Order: sequence, then C-alpha cells, then structure tokens
Amino acid sequence: MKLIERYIAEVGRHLPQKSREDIQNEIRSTIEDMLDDRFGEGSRNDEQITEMLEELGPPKKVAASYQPEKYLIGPKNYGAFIQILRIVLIAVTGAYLLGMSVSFWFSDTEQAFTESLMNLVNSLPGLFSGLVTSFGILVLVFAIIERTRTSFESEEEEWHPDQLPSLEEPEPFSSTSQYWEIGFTVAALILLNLYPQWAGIFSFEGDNWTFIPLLAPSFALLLPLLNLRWALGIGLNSLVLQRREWTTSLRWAKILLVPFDLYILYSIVFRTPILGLNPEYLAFHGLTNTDVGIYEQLLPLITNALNLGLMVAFIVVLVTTIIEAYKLARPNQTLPQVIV
Amino acid sequence: MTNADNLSLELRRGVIILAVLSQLKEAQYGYSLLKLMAEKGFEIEQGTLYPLLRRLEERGLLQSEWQVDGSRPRRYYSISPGGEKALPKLKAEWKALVKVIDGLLA
Repeated sequence: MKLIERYIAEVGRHLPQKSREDIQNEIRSTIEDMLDDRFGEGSRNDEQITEMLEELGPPKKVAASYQPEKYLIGPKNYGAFIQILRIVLIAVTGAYLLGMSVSFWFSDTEQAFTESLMNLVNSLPGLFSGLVTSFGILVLVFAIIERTRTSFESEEEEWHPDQLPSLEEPEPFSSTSQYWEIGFTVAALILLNLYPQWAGIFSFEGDNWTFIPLLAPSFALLLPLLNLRWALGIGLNSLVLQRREWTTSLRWAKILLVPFDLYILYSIVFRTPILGLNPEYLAFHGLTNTDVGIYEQLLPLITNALNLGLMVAFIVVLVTTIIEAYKLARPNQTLPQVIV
Repeated sequence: MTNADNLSLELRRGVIILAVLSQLKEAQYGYSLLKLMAEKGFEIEQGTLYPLLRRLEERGLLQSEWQVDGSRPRRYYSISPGGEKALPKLKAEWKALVKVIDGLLA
C-alpha cells in the first residue's frame, strides 16, 4: 500500500495547493475501486498495485490532466505580441545599423570600406544582445498581461453591420498604426534606457572609423519624464486597440498628453541639452575626450540643428493640437480618424 | 497515435459532456460512472473523465459530495439544476446534428 501513497504524493507535488488534497483523496479512492474491481476485495500484493499504477500513467501526466492549459502568452494576445515584437526588433536593428550604414556611405577608399565592414562584424554581438534583451522584456511584459488576464484585442462584443466604417471615410480604424507606435515606443524605451551609449555617429579619423557616442550626461535627467510620457502613450494606444476606435474621450486623452510633449521639447531646447560628450559612454567605447577633440567643436553646430528641428516640431504639435481640440469641442462634427 | 486516432478522439471529445450529463441523474462516483458508461458501450479513459467531472462542476453543470457510507469515502457526482437545464438543449442539438450528418454521409 505504500506504493499507492508514494504515487499519490507524487501526483500532489504537481497539483496546485488549493485543490491538492481533494484530488489526491479522489485518486486514492479510485485506485482502491480499480483494485477491488480487478482483483477482488482483500489484501493486495505489490505486483497488482504496480500493474494498476502503470495503467494510470505517470503522476505528472495525471496531475496535468486536472489543470487547464497554461500559457506564458496565450492565443488571445499572441497576435499582438508577434506584431509588436516584429516592430521592436526591426526598430532596434534599424537604430543599430543606421550608424553602420553611415560609415559605408562615407567610405571612399577600399581601406575605409574594409574597416567599416570590420566594425559591422565586431558590433554584431552587441546587436544580438540588444535583440535578445528586447525580446526578453517584451515576453516579460506580455506574460504579466497574460497573468492579469487582460487582452489587447477586445472580447467579442455586440456588433451590428451598421458599425462598419463607410467607404468614403478617409482613414478607417487600423490597428496596424497602433501596433507600430507601441513597437517603436518600446524600442525607444529599451534603447535609451539600456543602450544609451549606442546613440551617436561614426567618424573617420586618421585611418580608423570611430564611433562617437553623443548623448550628454544630462540626458539622464530627462529620461524619467520621457519614460513616463512613453508609458502613457503605450497605455493610450492599448486602450485604442481594445476599443478599436478613437472615441472622443480617447482623443481628449491624447490631447492631454500634448503639454507633456511640449514641455519635453522646451526642456531639450532651453534647459537640458541632450547632446554632449559623456565620459562614461566614451569610456565604454574605449575613447577619451582627446580622441574626439573635433566633435567638441562640432557639437554646438549639431545641437543648433537639432534645436531648430525641435522648435519646428514644437510649433507643428501646438498648431495641430489646437485644430484637433477645436474640432472635438464643436458638437455634431464628423471627425476624421487622426492616427498619430 | 495515428492521425486517424487523433481525429476520432477529437470527434468524441465534443460528445463526452452530453454522455456524462445524461448518465448522472442518479449520483455516481467516478469509477462507477466509468464502468456504467463502458457497459453501455461508451469507453472513456479515467484521465479524461475525472478532470472533466471537476470542470463540469466548476461550470455549474454538476454537483458533488463526499459520501462515506460504503467501504471507503467516495466523491459522488450528480447533475445540478444548471445541468438539468442544459441537458435538453444539448440533446436536441445532438439529435438534429445526427440527422444532418447522416444526410451528409448518405
């Protein structure tokens, strides 16, 4: 009989605490019923019990049959996971290769071309680790979403053919742009939080290509605010995906995020310069301030160009938001589907 | 297991619920239900039946209680009011389905 108890204990090891004892009792009672049925009532020998347990199957399999299938990322969210993963991986690879392609572009001699090819090969492990990290983070986020049993795509709800968007509507709702925006935001979050030393340019000095990281130490001050803004953006896009439309309240929520954007743009231009030579990142690439002397002079020029671009962005965001808010505030107005 | 075996398993899976509900007007414990169904020609593995009984109870189609009047404690399952309500619908669905499929296979 000890064999039966060992079997039941082993099944219990693979069962959740909550239902363990109850299921174990039921299996015990079943085994005894089976033995009675097969060999008649009375004492048992180990051979009979062994035969019976073999028939029941491995304890792990028996325990598994009592539990619903478990997923790290379930079928409901798998589609969203794959779409966002694809975009994140493309964006991370893109950001990494952008710098590389610049060096190919400017390699006018064969030697310079070979050097930049070597650069590309040498940096592949870095790209690989970036991709694996991005994949890991995304899996983790989706596993948490799965645990909390939320779904990116809305549950089937009441639907009527009248709800189909009219063909004249310029831009019917498309989830693709939401997925792209979430994907790019996640990629930006990963790149700037985990690989800030990647942001920079390639420079051909003497006989060598050198990668010069250009994010200033003060960028770290701005990062929490950027992270918050991006997290809110991902939240908003997830809600839009769930509702499958830009409802009025979601449009207002998007407008409420704009002051955030304006403040960030203003901060970069007037208060916290994000470009500069960061000794830590330079050290990461095996450089010192003297190695990049020329860029100290070039930096103000690059910064000015960036600031000009950001000021234009500031004005564009401000004007388009005012127009959108004006349209929203006007009652009974058909709104175009603006997806930014 | 061959492909054909898998297909018949899938086919049977759908009707097990109907078969089980139909046999639980009188309370049965797992093993007695297994024997009862086998006698009537519906073979079912215990690895399938026992977890199914629990799931049907969780869904409110069955109810159960432990009884200790026999030689050992046993968990008896019987159809619940929710199951009573669902059974005629399932039966009607099954009959209609058999008719249609027979027509298709003829």
